[in-house]
Amino acid sequence: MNRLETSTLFWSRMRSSWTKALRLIRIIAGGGGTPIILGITIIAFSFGYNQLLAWLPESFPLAPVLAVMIGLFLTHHRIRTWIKPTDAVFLLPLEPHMGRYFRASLLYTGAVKLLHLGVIMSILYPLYRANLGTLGTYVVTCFLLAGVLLLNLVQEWQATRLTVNSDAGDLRLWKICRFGLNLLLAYDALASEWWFVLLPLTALAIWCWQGFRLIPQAPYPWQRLSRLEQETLARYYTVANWFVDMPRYKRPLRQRKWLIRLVNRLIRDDAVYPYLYWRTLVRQSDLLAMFARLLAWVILLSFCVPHPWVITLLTLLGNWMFTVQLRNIEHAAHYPVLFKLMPRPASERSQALQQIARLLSTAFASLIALVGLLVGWLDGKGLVIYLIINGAAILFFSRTKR
Amino acid sequence: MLTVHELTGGYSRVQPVIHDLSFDVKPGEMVGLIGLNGAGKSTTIKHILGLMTPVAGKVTLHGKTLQDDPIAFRSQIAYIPETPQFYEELTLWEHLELTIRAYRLDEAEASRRAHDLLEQFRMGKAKHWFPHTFSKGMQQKIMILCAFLAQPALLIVDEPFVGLDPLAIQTLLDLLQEGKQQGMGILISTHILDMAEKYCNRFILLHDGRIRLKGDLPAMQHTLNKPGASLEQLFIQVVKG
Repeated sequence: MNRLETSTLFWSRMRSSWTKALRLIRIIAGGGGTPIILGITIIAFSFGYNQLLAWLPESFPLAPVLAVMIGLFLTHHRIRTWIKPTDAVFLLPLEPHMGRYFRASLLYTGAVKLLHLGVIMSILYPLYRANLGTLGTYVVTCFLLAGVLLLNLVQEWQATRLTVNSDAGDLRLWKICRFGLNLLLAYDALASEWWFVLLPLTALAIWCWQGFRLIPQAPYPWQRLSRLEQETLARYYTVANWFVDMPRYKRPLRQRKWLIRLVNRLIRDDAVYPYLYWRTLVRQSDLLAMFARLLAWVILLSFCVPHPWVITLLTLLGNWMFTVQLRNIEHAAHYPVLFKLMPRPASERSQALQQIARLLSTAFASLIALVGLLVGWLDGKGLVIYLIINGAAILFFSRTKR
Repeated sequence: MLTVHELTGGYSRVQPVIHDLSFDVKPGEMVGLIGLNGAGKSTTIKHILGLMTPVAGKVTLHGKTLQDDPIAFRSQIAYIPETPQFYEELTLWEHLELTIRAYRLDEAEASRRAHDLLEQFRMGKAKHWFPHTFSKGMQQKIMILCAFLAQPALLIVDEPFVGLDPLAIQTLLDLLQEGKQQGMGILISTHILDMAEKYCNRFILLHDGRIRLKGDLPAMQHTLNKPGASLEQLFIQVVKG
């Protein structure tokens, strides 16, 4: 394979990955529930955004708040390389020719990140015009931030390359410094302090130029690139898994010691499946994150329409969605063959699942009721309706079998 | 204890992999299941474990099939697979705890034994780590630890030595010997014929899914009219026809 072909390999991997992604998107978009949930979320978001615009006082420090958000966006990058674990074996002989591959990777990531910046800036446009500046300054800010983003992307790549011969602590410190410069730049741009932009911008550009001298000719950090790529893929799969079942998707593992200590108190000493399922739930599945997302979703929508019946129905919907997904942890395919050989009756599996479903659904409904009471969305009568309907639903959902 | 009677089976009913296998494993003996790659050793084991349904024949443990009493059947068997298979979300110690719960073992006694086993296999420092960070040999040790912790009546071992360091191999062999002395029946599939010859009481030589030769070494030597032949020589003669 010659130098030209390494970039061809990148584009071919990119195309194949996008083909799979588009297939998934088509399945997700074709699902009945997804468009409805997305529709409700978009309507609620635009409703909430309009309310925010109407409420926002002129004295609100919008520029610093947005600068922090944009600063974080400009600093953190995940460069898509599509490097696979096996590449450390098969592409190693091609290492001297991999420059073009990774240039293509940077080009692709840059284009995608610019697109993301465009979406973010479009969403922020009404806010910017209402409190920060004119159309002219908005356009200049967009172009400036785009340039800064590309400089940051190159520096992220340099930092990744430097992991082979630099201390991880040093690289972290560099990233924090870079965030500081990005924060300054974003703030100065949003506040239209154009002269102050020059200093951090020059510092970033010089830093970037210096970075090229520090990068070693070889080796590439193959293991790290492969791990980063796996993590990126895992994130996309996590999102896809919200909508469709992804049984082959390998989820990242987290220790979560304090949560395990907590769930140990909920499990009987001789329980087998609750012992396993709680650990799957806490450490490996996306369900815990989904629990938090659904909770946030119901609270956000309740904030937009704070009526007891709406809150009751939203909680019901949230709980139903969670319980349906919870059943995935029972799938034997997820577990090794030892799961099938356990000398325990199969009925213990569904009992364990029911127990977990009941407990988490109760926690879900209780947390929303608590927020509702504290904020004043639920009064005495509303609370009674809420408790009766959700209590009955929890019993029903947790007893339902596939 | 374990009786396999005229067992025929495989991944498809039309094309069975194993044909008319009949053998047994008695308490306190180690039986070696020997064959080339693809001879049907793992398929035989999967049928014994109830992971595959036979086309014909049956497998009984103490006279009962898996269907007669699934919990009693499973409680008496432990399995060490060829490829380490573990729960990614459980640490090494949690695998042992799960085994204690699943086999309803006495907690205090089993915990003590678990610590002994961890020490024997020098895995104590890794007991709170997740197995995906382990080397293949260490992952295999999890399977071994769990199986010996359960102290089953029948132990089924599929190629256990792959990836193990020399000390771990010796510890495993010692444990197998100890298990045998305590009345454990062991069915072991291996390609290491010297070791099998030294440690197994009887052998089943599988070729193309059929038993070509079985019995103890003198009996097999007698059948093939090869007095003094090693297991390896007998096996080569069987497979080369």
